[in-house]
Amino acid sequence: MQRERGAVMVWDPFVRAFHWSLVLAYGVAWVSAEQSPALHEQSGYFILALIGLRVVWGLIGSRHARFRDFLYGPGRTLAYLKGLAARRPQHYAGHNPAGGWMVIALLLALVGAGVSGMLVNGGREDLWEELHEGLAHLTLVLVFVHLGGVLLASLLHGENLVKAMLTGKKLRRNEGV
Amino acid sequence: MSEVRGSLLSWLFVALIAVAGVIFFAGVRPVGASGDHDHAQGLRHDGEIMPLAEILGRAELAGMRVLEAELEREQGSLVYELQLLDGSGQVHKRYFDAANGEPLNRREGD
Repeated sequence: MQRERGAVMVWDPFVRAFHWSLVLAYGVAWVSAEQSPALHEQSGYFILALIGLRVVWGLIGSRHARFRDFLYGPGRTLAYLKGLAARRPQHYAGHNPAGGWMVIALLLALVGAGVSGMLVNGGREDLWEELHEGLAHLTLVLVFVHLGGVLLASLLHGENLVKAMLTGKKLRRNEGV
Repeated sequence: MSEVRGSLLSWLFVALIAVAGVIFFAGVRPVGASGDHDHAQGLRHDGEIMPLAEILGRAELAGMRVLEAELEREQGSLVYELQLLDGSGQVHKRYFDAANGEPLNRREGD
């Protein structure tokens, strides 16, 4: 049995490798968009492959990697956000409800950006290109909200969540585990 | 025990990420940036020319390294001029109609 505050493995190797590969691939896709069409397209395919693996892992993976573990209804999500506003958010071992929805939002925006990018035909009024750029920008906005959420949750829980995504370990608490 | 098995499966998925990375990025060849890069981008954007990557992705060019890639206007039509290095170290010059990607016949060393 674990003690109340020991470090416990929460993010398995795949979750961490996926996260940082995605960060890298999104950065490459962003930087290469104007400079290197070949690199840009390949990084897009790679991102879609990453997400495909993540979806499978979300069904069969380790406990906190599963969608079932971090998808909460509106009630729990609102309660978490209220707790956040009151600076006393409930602690979750895996993703908190807001973080869980951020995962879904990021995955959907990236799939949309990837698929619309594949449909870009280079014509004069290419709606797929418009959609592709819109979703790529939406993803960037989500990334910044995600970073803000990680920073806020790290401060309020007194726990370095960036480090947790590197080592896989989070502090064990008695609540909401 | 099931934790160990889960961990092994997790590492297997990590390996799949690596495989995907190799599959998708190994094919990307560095393309020499020319001064007319922005112009070429504009033409490509407007659908006047094919992406160079599409031509480079062809089976007939598999295993070739791009030494130099130029987009030139010749007798009114746009032509990709590629200098390629094959597996045995020999350099080839190949020309493609940039509009439709058709290979154009030129002499070696032209």
